[in-house]
Amino acid sequence: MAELSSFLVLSAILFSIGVYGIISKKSAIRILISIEIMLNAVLLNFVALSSFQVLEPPLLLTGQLFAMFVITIAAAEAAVGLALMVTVYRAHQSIEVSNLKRLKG
Amino acid sequence: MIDIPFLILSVLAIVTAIMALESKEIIYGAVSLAITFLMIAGFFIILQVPFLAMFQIIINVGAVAVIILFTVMLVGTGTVVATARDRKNSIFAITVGIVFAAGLIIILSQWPGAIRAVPISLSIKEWVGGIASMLIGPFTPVFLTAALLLTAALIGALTLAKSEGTPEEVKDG
Amino acid sequence: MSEPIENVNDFIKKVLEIAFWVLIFLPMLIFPIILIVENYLPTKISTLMANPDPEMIFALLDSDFFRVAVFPGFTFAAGFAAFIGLWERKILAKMQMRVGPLYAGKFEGILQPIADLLKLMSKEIITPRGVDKPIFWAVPLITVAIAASLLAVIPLSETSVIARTDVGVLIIFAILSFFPIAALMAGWASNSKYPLIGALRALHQMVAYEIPMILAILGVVILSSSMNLLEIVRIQENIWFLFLLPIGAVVFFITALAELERVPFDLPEAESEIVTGWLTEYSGMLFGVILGIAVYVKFYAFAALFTVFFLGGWHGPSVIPAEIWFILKTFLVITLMIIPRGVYPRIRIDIMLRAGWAKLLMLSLLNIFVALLILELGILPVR
Repeated sequence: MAELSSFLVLSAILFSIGVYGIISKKSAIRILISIEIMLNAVLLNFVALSSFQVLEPPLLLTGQLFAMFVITIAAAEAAVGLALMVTVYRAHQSIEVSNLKRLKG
Repeated sequence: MIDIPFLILSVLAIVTAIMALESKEIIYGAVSLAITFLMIAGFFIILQVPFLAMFQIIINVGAVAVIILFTVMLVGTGTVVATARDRKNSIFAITVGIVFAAGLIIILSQWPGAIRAVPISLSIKEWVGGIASMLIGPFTPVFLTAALLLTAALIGALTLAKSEGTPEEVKDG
Repeated sequence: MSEPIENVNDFIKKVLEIAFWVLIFLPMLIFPIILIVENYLPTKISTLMANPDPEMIFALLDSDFFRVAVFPGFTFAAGFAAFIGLWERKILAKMQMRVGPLYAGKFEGILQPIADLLKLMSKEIITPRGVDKPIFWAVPLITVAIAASLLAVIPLSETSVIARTDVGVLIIFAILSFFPIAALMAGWASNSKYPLIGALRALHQMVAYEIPMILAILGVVILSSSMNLLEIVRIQENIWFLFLLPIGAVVFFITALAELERVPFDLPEAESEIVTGWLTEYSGMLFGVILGIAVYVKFYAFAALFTVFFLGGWHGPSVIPAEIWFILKTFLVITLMIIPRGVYPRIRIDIMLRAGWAKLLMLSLLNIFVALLILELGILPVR
């Protein structure tokens, strides 16, 4: 089994890929995909830290419990985000975030 | 030191994550994202948490990736044409990403806890028991909040998707 | 040699003839080579062939490869699936006062699966213009792989099971969650109206019926306090869950019909409305691979799961071996799943969705309460 630090480095790389995507992409779906990648990087981090004995027994599985919450919240976020996207597309015929400036003063 | 399954999974995870963002057709991006989710589940199996790995596949591959694919089909975006400003933007983004990754890796590699940590392996009974006692014990408020959040998200998504449109459309969709 | 082949009997006769001559001539070539080569090998192959070592054969029969590839695994399931196809056509024909497949084979068209296979193999595989080639070609393989991986956790008996895992039930639902993706990809990649409509229908249907199915199985998991399928079967030694959780069994049966896209839930491939749904653009052996192997292997897997969850798996009087009991029960379930196709019309999509989201969900929640009540009353002997 690999060491803890290799898991942490991998999740750092995945998280950075997500950061890159959020900054550079214009399509709202790509941004949502980057958010999902970041959430999964965090998930991997939680589970890796909790699978190695970092905390003491009463809190041993906290990371995995939080991973379950993160998965749940990711699903909810994706559902709402994509519903928003469909609504925005109906209104503007585009989901590029730079086009959505009707509220700009 | 680093074993082969971990190496293969990590290379695949990084490649598919980059493809999810950089592929020309957005539908390939969505499929790549599904593969990234699958790889993360593979890491969970390496970490000996099969329960969580299956949870990840059921929710992330089975629900999140599917609704992303579904939205891509509904919205239907063509291939993206990059302008000069986009290229500048993406160079900036790559720089930020690399700096971010470097910083995180430096911080993590200096953390002494990572080297001392030893892997634990619990049987499924112990694992489920531990999670359950935490869910009913100290984490009940979080659990209830997550349930409320899911309900709110369900209602919100339904309302958003149903609003706007003629009565016929609402009746059909 | 050159007279035309009229029917399958002739073809098989010809194949057997060729096989006979090959069997005559091949040893004349092979044996001298073996005798020369084996001088340089540590074990004598010719001795092994003439006088096989029983231990070695038993070791092969016990190996993981044999399990995965042959007996509880793929070859058995694919053969069974081919037989299901014939059985379905025969039963439907009898229900509609027809004869069904008759000419292939001497007895009641018993060789019809082979004839179908040959027909599909001899057809051209057409890749229509405008399809997304990588995905279009990948989908048949992916569907077969997903359907076959369902077989890994199904226990035919205490010994013939591929994977002994503590999260078997979850693995099944994890595998099931791949099917909508495959259907959606096929529908999108085909670049045609009917596949896309069929794929969207499949998506709606599978997502709507997966949740009642999970909740129905939750009752079983509560009663057996395990997600291990072997454990679930073991606890049903005295009483089947069919009698304890009849509501759950009904819900699982209906949701299985919906997941399998069978009548009355065959909206995704409604042939009178949208040709063949998401399979429309596939032709030749690609179609054969999806429909003949993936769909029917999935059919077998669901029937086997019903047997595992509700019919007590391999348990039965020990006159017959455990595996045969399992196969008999699975066969009964398959027959029950085929019968609606001859009886019911296809239901409308809004009725289907309302039934899935409202009625079956309620019933499966009720099923959980029944399971908890049984646990509370102590009807089931707790280990």
